[in-house]
Amino acid sequence: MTTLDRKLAPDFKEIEKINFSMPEKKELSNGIPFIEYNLGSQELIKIEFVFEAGSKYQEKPLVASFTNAMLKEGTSSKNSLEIANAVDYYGAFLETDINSDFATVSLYTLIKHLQNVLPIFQDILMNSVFPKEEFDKKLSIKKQKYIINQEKVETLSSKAYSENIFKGTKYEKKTSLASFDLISVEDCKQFYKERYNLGNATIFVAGKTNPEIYSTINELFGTSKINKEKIEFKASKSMYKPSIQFINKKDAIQSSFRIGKPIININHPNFTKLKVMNTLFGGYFGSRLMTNIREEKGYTYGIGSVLMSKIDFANFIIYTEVGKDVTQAALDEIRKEILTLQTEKVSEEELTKVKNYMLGRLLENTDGPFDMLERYKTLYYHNLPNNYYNQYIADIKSTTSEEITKLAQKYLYDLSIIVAGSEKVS
Amino acid sequence: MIDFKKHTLPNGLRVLLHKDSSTPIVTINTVYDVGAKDEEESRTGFAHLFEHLMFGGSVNIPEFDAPLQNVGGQNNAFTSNDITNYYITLPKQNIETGLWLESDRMLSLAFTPESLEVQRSVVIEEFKQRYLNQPYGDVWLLLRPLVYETHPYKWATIGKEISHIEIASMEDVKAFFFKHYTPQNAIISIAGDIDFEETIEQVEKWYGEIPAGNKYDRNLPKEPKQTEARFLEVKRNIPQNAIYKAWHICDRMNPDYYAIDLLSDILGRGNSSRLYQTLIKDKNLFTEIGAYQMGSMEPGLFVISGKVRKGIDMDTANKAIEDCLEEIKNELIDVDELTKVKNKVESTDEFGLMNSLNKAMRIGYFELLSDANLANTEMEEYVKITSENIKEIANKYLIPTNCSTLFYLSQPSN
Repeated sequence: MTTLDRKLAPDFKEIEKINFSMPEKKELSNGIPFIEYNLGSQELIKIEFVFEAGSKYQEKPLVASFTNAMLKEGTSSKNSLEIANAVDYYGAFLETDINSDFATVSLYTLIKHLQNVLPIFQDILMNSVFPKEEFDKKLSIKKQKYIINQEKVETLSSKAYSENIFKGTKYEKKTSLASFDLISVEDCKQFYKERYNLGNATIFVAGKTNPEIYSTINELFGTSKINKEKIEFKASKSMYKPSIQFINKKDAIQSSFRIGKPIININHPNFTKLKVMNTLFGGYFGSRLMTNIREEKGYTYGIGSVLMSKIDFANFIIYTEVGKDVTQAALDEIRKEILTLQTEKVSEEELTKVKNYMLGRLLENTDGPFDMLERYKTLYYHNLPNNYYNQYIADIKSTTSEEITKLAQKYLYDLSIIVAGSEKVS
Repeated sequence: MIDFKKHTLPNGLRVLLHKDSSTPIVTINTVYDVGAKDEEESRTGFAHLFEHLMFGGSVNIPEFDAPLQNVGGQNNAFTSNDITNYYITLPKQNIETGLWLESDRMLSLAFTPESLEVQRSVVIEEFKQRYLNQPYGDVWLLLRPLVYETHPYKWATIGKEISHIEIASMEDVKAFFFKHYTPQNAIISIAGDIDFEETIEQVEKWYGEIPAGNKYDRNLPKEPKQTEARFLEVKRNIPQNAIYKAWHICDRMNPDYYAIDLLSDILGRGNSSRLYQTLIKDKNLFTEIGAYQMGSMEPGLFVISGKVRKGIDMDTANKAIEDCLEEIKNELIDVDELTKVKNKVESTDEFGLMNSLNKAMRIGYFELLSDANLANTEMEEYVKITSENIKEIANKYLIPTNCSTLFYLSQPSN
């Protein structure tokens, strides 16, 4: 019928430009920053309050996360069931989230229900009362979950990894089973008072917005006087020392690896190129680690590496769970891949593939209001310039194979190796 | 609302196109009408192993992932008891690369022995990682054969046991491919900023020559009606006891489905649900509790599962779940409570329409089920449900003789 040559790939076009739109930046009447993306075609919206209330600000383990989780458990006028019912009745989603830098409270709703759900949102942000009984229940539930998680090799390796990598910094997690007995509801009330005041918040809105939404939010949150004085916070220096650790988990049939070290952060001029190196090494399905250790050897269901950026600290980490019998073999292969990256030139073909892949992901990750907002928040919180993503694209495109080799030599040394399982390594 | 056009190729391949000019990304979703339910009982886990092999190169193209990554795309896949679903997302200008790759593996695979050996090990590691080396990981390996006696839903997608994956041969692989991976067993749906005619032309160019293959006639053994309560107790080295309860329900196309789905939301969706409020908040018996229905194409399951608080007797916990069900069976639920779960279905649908991958997957799935347009009209069926319907459905399905209960008990090893 035709002479279709199936062996020949169709022509393709590289991604030249990505439309990165900037949000509108305003303030509520009392000065709370209000950042708005009017994008999308669905009649829905996400409203997010971001507080500088992550775990790095806590004096005691668990306080930040419990404070965050307790927000939905009672206000001066509503108990936890009334809060849940009021949100669910309108099909809305109220989510609380916490990481080491930020605490986030988000509301997802159809615009037609906004007027009905926003007062509940206001109530939990301004009038949470932390009922003791709810707190005790949550405490025992989380404690049970913690105990269950200790049965997983990946929990054990991750915990030991963080202890090692964040040692001496505010990101160091000191949670243990005993922490659950040391925290009180008073700790949360205090943390809420200090950290969840509106002067410490930024409001992000994304979706099909309209001017009325700003007015409604301003009415509820813009009239009270806020305290913009920042509580002093000092990021402390890492006392990181490379080490090899084995955590014994009897009868485990897989071993969990966490291998990594502290590394330059997103503000560093080398960061994007280092990200190209990382993607090639372990950052996507076609990476060296995946190709060798999963697709050629079949040692694992998955392996990868990532550059994790927190606000004051970044680290490079390789993670995988492998069959018990191939624990040492997998580690040998990981080491071999690092050495290869440091000593052998990357082919143009492989490098081009990685670059195109990364540009495709950026295109995909700026698609729609919620994704666009996430990308913008990176700029906002790391104080990056508005043209950051143009520079990011330029940096990806200009990365050479020589640079990859040099970056691997410059950064991939002194890695800590943590393994949890029933098989030791050397 | 997902507007779409449907086109069927002479070889039987169904094509659904949805235009969304707001996105620079195009999704190509391919659903094959084959899942773990189509396996033989002595060869389970095969549909899923096969999904892995679909990435090991096709007849004309040695690698699947690399050419796609090279044009800025990515892909993934999943297998369930009912279907095997593959999807690609890539920049819209490179859609043809996706069609080229996806059509070539529908034409035929490379069938290299190396690929089979490696994916066999990968899947065995997946089996260990997700089902054996996790607390509570083997629950479904236990529960399915308790609930189903003859229907192939009695095994999990990963397979009954690792040995089945170990013995899969290249002959099995080839036979499976030519039986199930034919144009007439597949639906592709494409969503993005596309031109309908141009896209149809491209699809015809790449898929038109693929032989139609033989029609696969599904003839699955029927599950006999369960007539008495079933019970299983196991002990594992885990820190906390758990309960799993499952009832047989209808298939996905049965009119009862919508009331069952809402009933599961009333009982188990979110913090305002009945089980959460009663068993965690009021009575302090559980630390986690949930209810859901499986939504499977063949007659499926309604499931309630929870982790029992330390020190609470298992029978007390079990009885408390049953008391909640009695309440639903005896008393009409309040209109507000019903409106609440309907509103949640509506907004979940609406949020799902934000993304072209979701949309492509949704119309493909409904087309396989019966008609892609059901993706748009299904909400009307939910709206019609009344409090009386919920009560009837609870009394029809959530009865003790239709129930299987698993006590998953903590027995720490020294």
